[in-house]
Amino acid sequence: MLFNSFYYFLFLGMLLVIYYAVQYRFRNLILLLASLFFIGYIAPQLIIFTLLFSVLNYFTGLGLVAIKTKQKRKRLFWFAVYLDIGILAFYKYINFISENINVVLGLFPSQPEIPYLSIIIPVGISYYTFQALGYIIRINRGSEQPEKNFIKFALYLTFFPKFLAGPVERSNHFFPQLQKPILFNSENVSAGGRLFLWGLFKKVVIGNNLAAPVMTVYGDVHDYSGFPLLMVLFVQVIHLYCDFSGYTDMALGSARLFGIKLADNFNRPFFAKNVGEFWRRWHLSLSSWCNDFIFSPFIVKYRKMGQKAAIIGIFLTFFVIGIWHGANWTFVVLGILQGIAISYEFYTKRKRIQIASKLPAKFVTFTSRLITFVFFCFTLVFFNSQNISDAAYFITHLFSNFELKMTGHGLVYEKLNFGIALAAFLVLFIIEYYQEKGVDLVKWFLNRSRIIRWSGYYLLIIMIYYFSSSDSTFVYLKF
Amino acid sequence: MKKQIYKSLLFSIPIFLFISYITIVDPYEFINLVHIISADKKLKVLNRNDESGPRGNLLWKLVHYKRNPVENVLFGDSQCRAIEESQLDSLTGEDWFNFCIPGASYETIFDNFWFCAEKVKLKKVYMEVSFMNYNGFRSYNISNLGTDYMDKPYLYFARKEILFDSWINMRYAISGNQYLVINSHELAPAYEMDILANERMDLFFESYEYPDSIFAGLTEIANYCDHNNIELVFIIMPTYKALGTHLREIGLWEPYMRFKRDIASLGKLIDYDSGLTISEERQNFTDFFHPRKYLLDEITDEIWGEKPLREGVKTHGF
Repeated sequence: MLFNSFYYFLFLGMLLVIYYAVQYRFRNLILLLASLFFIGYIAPQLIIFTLLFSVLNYFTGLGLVAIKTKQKRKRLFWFAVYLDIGILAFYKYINFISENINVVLGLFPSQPEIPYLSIIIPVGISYYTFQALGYIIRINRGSEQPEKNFIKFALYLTFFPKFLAGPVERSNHFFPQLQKPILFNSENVSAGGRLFLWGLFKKVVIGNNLAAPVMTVYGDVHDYSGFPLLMVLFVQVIHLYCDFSGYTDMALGSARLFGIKLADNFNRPFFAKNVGEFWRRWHLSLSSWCNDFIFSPFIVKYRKMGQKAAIIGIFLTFFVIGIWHGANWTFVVLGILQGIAISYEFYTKRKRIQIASKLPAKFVTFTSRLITFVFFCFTLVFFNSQNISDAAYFITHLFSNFELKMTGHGLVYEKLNFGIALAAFLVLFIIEYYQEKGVDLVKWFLNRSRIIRWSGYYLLIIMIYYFSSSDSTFVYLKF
Repeated sequence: MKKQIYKSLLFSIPIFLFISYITIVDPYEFINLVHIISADKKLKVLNRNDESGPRGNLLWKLVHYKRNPVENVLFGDSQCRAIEESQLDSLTGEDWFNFCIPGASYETIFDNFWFCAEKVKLKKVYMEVSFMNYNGFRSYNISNLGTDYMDKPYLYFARKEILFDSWINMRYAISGNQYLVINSHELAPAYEMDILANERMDLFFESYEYPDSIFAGLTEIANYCDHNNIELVFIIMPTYKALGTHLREIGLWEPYMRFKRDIASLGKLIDYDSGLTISEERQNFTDFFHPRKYLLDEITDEIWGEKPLREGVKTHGF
């Protein structure tokens, strides 16, 4: 049941009516049952898995406070951490690990091979594992009390808007919202509906219509060289941004309908002036999680090492961010490249500020944003490529057989839709540009008369209806 | 909350109007509640061009066959699409359904056959087969253009193609403007049709591979008909002689003959593409593959009526 499917709209509409029709004390239970239904609709066996996972972490949280002996508490903590990571590693990385061990074993004659395990990765596991880990770590640190109500706790891990592809929600942000009764609030419903519609527009009109060239090129990259690769180099970023931020808006909008605010994932990333800042604007629920639970503890623990600790911490953090995306060396390289860039920025910060101070501020801002954007475009080649050799081919053939023509490469089947997607992105970019400058166009729009606002909503609905393409899945569902 | 519900209803008025519009025009009689536009007009609209023809015929025929299944069915592609069911009914005194879909591949024809076989115990099955798609490289299936709506009925309101069809239906019903429904091929001059025909020949026979899976699919149907006492007759329609010349030139004459042998091995066959004089005349065909309506009517009379088959038509298994 994808967010952009008819059945999800039906599910959401019916749930909304039921949710506000029942007494508020039953509302969390309704949301949990709805979430389990949502999960069961994807795969019924997933309900048992996620419930067991919830039970494990629920009792761990309670146990960490109940156990008074420090040693036992530490043992329980590490047991739970290893178990959570172990479950994730088993489902997501076991075949990758076996594959690489087999490569090494292959160097020695007549070594037995580790068999490939035919396992299905539970949907959303990367997201709820990190949420559970964050919860346990915070309790172990003493910065949060465990949630005693199992319904609320299970809802934290299984809440359907964020179950499939995040955001990676923090327990200290989620639970306080459930402490007081959630009453019907027309502002929540309107804001949720608006956000959902906006996300659907980004996903369906922009993301989906830009998907074809990206999928086609990465499907068989060796068939292309020159301009098609250069076009995809830039289009892939817009595609991914609109796909994922569209998904996130729909998730946030869905949650908001029920009076729950989830953490956002994006904060105008294309206006980042360096790679470090970029990661504070892109998938920030994940990057801030990694910052709080990997980078910060690491540099605190190894502060005696000085700058070295920071550099190792950066690489470790981005290695985790990279490999979190999937069991492939391409994601490792993706993470390492971010690590290299941020380390470079870390070491050259003073020098760069010195140079920048001699140049016009606008030029520096523009150039910094451009370089950051182009760097991300290049690293995204590793995100989309099936393997390292495909990525290497992509980058080394960007300017081979270069023939500057927009069409005729067999990449864009629906030219009108493709053009509309780029034009719509331009509008999105302009809105974000003004937001970045402090001009809130959304607030301006919301202050217009009803006829203008509703016309705006209908314009989006008509565009969604008219320019929707058949591609419907979300890129980040596979993680 | 009442205010919010009132606002939501007010906001939804255009959506309700849109749903009402589709329901009233109902270009495929999918909802079947209101019939303000006649079926004849709707059929003309759905056959208006190469884009609307395949999906339109598929959806129309799936919907109508599901609603009123009959025992006698003609399957095939665009070559027999224009055969009138009423002509078949009057010639045979039985109810017939023409399930020929423009652009249908063998895979689509097979799907249509099994769809019908699920709905009713078939009695007579006539299947038009052509060499143009009897090719391992011509493997595709357009069934989903119709079955999607059967599986997910809400798509009838969610796909823009239905809105376009509704819009043209309404314009045609109000204005009666024939240009809205005349297929561009009907207006094209002869030389343009020749260019198109040559392009299509290149498309059909650019590469060739013996189609094991298609033969297997035909065999499965032939066996099913045999076990269920269903009369199965294959028909090969006439084509313009340029096609035969082309097949000889590109070395596909022998595969063409093998195609005929394959079909003959499965049961009864009526072969109109066997060097008849009608194939000599370019004006008998719209392009190289499609007999004009008058010729199609004559062939229909010969196959289903009392009129004897014309001289030179080859039959097998009768």
